[in-house]
Amino acid sequence: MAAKSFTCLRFAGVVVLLLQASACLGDTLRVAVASNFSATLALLQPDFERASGHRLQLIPGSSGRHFAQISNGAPFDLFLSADAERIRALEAAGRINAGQRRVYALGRLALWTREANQSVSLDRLATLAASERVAIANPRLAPYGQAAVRALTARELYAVVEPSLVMGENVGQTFQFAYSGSARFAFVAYSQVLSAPEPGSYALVPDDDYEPIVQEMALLKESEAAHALFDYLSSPAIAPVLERAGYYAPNSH
Amino acid sequence: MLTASDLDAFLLTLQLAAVTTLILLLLGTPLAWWLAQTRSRLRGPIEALIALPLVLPPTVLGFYLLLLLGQDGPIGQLMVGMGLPALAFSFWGLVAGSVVYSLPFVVQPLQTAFAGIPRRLLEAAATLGATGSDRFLSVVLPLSRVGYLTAIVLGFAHTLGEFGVVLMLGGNIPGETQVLSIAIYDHVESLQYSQAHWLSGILLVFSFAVLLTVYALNRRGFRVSVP
Repeated sequence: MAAKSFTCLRFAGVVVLLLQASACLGDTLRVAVASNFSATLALLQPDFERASGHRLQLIPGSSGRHFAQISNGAPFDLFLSADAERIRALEAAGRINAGQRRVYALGRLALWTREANQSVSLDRLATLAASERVAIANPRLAPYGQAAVRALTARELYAVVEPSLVMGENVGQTFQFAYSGSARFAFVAYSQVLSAPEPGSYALVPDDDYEPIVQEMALLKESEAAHALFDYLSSPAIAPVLERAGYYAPNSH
Repeated sequence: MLTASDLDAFLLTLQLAAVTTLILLLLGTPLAWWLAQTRSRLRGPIEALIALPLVLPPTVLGFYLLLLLGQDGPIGQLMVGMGLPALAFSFWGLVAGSVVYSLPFVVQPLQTAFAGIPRRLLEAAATLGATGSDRFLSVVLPLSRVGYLTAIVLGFAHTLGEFGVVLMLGGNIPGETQVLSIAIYDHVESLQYSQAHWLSGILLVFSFAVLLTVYALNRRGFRVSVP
């Protein structure tokens, strides 16, 4: 008897929760956002919500997973990818209408160590001891990893550093490798360096050493609210916020 | 410290684990009974099928469930055809995924418990005129109490700690499919380490308390049943 009423309570709880979720669905936008940009979007969120009256629900994650989920009908309104390729693949598959994708930010690559007051530079990596590790995001999956490989190759350091490389699944995990001390250095997003729990020491990798890390977004559902966010994120007005957070605004570069 | 969405994630996780465990007990009991009694040649393949989630990486399971339950998948199409929403990215989709994922953790202890019941006890009960349901309620159930307890604890705990399947199948939607393990992962990914610590600590203490209570109850139950 007790077990039965317990069960009923659980079911009632679930029903209430589902009702609540559907009740506020009308003016709430679900935004699938690349992990590296989610803190920045959270900075912009109050401003957008105040100005537009719509609410945002941020769903951070790896762009590869978001892509698989959107391809299978995930109920997202907007997708801010960590790259341009996946957005183009969505367009090619007919998941988004023509013209409903835009560049929203350019990522910047940094070399970071947890140790404070260090002078960090790419060239110093050549003098690493054999036991020291350098973390990069898996270049097969992550644009920041590709950029890191390109920068090392441009400096003719790749062959020297390669035995020390460890790979994170994405740039978030790559940061954790260095934050936990498992790796002495990590190639991470400059945006992560700026929001790191500990400042550590870093050097920005010169822009000329790698291809720009183009982050594109796509409008997945047609609605007034989704269009409002899509336009807001491509307006020049937010450029200073982007730059403070460690990105270049799309047209500034 | 904890935000409203962290609290949502915690409640949602409890709901998911409770609903999943309940469904698993209802499904698992007849299944385990059949497996414990049958001499069918199908027994081997079905046991292997049930044990698969123990071996498969959860992300693989989650990906296949996503393809199966998503709007273009066979089950998703069936649901949409019946005028229902596709299961992927909903609470009930997570329940479906968790039932598959935690199935062996409920079926295996029950099967072991059922197999340990001496046949002659059931036969004796039958000769005394006990019907099938009588025999189940007054012979099988009391004798497999420990099996049920183990099944409930493992089913609940395994669903509580689930990650790969719900991440893939749920879409990480706050208040609907964002369970605790995913909320923690989010915090770690976005460098909010102190919030991640808080949530992990809560999960750790809560899980430990649940297990401790159950094992304490279990030991007391033993003493009472052995005079």
